[in-house]
Amino acid sequence: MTAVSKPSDDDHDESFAGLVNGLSGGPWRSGGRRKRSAPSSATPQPVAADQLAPAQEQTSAAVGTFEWSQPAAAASVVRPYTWTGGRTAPVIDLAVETLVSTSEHGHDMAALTSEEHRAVAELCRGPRSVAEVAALLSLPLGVVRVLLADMADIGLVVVHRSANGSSNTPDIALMERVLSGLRRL
Amino acid sequence: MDFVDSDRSRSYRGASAAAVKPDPARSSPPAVRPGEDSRPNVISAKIVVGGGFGAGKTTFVGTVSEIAPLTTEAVLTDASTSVDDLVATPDKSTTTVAMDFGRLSLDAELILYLFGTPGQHRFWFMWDDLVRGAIGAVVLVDTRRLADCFAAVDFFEDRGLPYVVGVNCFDGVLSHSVEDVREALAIGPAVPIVPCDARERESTKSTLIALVEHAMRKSVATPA
Ligand SMILES: Nc1nc2c(ncn2[C@@H]2O[C@H](COP(=O)(O)OP(=O)(O)O)[C@@H](O)[C@H]2O)c(=O)[nH]1
Ligand SMILES: [Mg+2]
Repeated sequence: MTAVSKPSDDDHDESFAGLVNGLSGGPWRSGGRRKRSAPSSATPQPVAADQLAPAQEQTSAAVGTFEWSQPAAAASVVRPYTWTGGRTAPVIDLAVETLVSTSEHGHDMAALTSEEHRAVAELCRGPRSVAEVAALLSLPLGVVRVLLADMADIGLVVVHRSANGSSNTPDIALMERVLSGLRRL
Repeated sequence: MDFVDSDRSRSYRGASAAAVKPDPARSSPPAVRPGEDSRPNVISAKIVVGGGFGAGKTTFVGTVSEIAPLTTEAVLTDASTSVDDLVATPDKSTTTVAMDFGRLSLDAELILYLFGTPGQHRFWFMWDDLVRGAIGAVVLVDTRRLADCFAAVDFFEDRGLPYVVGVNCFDGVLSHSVEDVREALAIGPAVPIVPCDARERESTKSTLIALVEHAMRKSVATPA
């Protein structure tokens, strides 16, 4: 990681802002703390598929599409997921912390037809987050998201319910539980 | 209750068994999708750790994590690269961004994940993915380089994510007062600023507690 000297920080942010906005539709701008304008939105907007292509053209390969940041829906429109046998990934919202476990079906060796499926089924005998699966199998997050969504689709893994329900913010009951858990440590 | 490692796998097995014989009390709430009852009961929560390069993010995550911090890679790639190519030749026309994280079992059915944000400015758009659903963020500040955390603070404020500032004491002493730091970062009086030594378990623990308490206050003040 290169240390970015302070005077150039804003330049970095500035030149990157177009890409940030192009990809995420997000309102975020950076700069000095005192220059910050009022937040225009608290919620990031999903990436629209038609925004991606122009954004990619403007940028070099190194800063092109960031697959991890895309919602599954957008990714399935844009990405050639040949890896999953030409099927597009089902729309499952897999956050980095989403837990998955091997299902009963996934414990059946005969059901595990590929090396990847076997590796995941072995790994997820206890609950593992999407990020853990990626880290422990040394696969990029985006690849693991497709793999897990695919395995969930055919019943090899179970995606645990989200602690946040349908909302994107943790509810007070979860926070209380986290708090008492931390205090017990 | 004792929360030892084996409890986790046991609770998972228990959840599987529950699927065979569903508890009728759990089947009554509305909007339960088919199969919902068969889902294991273990859930996860997430806290993000931000701050400038060298501020102590990786150290912080490692100090509290029950596992050695793991690193996962996200890939920046151009549109023509298929996932096949990524698996076969991960270095080809891609840039990977490493992100470290740790895991903390808080009770038999609750796992807290701590994610260190990737430090480079040009990767910050990835943070949307990280902050979604997070309880909040800890912004680590190295008082010798206060400005390094500006953009992290900006980002969390813009996203409305509750955060606390952990001031690392790199020289063993807090070289700036809390109010100096608040002034320098131009943050409001409601945001907790706590001294934090990322190498000390008790210190990281109380920083996390300060964050969750703050997030709860914020959530009560502004119901979603
Ligand atoms: N004195 C002191 N040193 C720390 C503290 N936190 C981290 N360090 C050291 O600072 C260096 C950078 O920390 P690191 O966790 O890699 O920073 P990151 O870039 O934010 O992930 C390491 O050598 C740590 O040992 C702290 O709270 N106090
Ligand atoms: Mg680090």
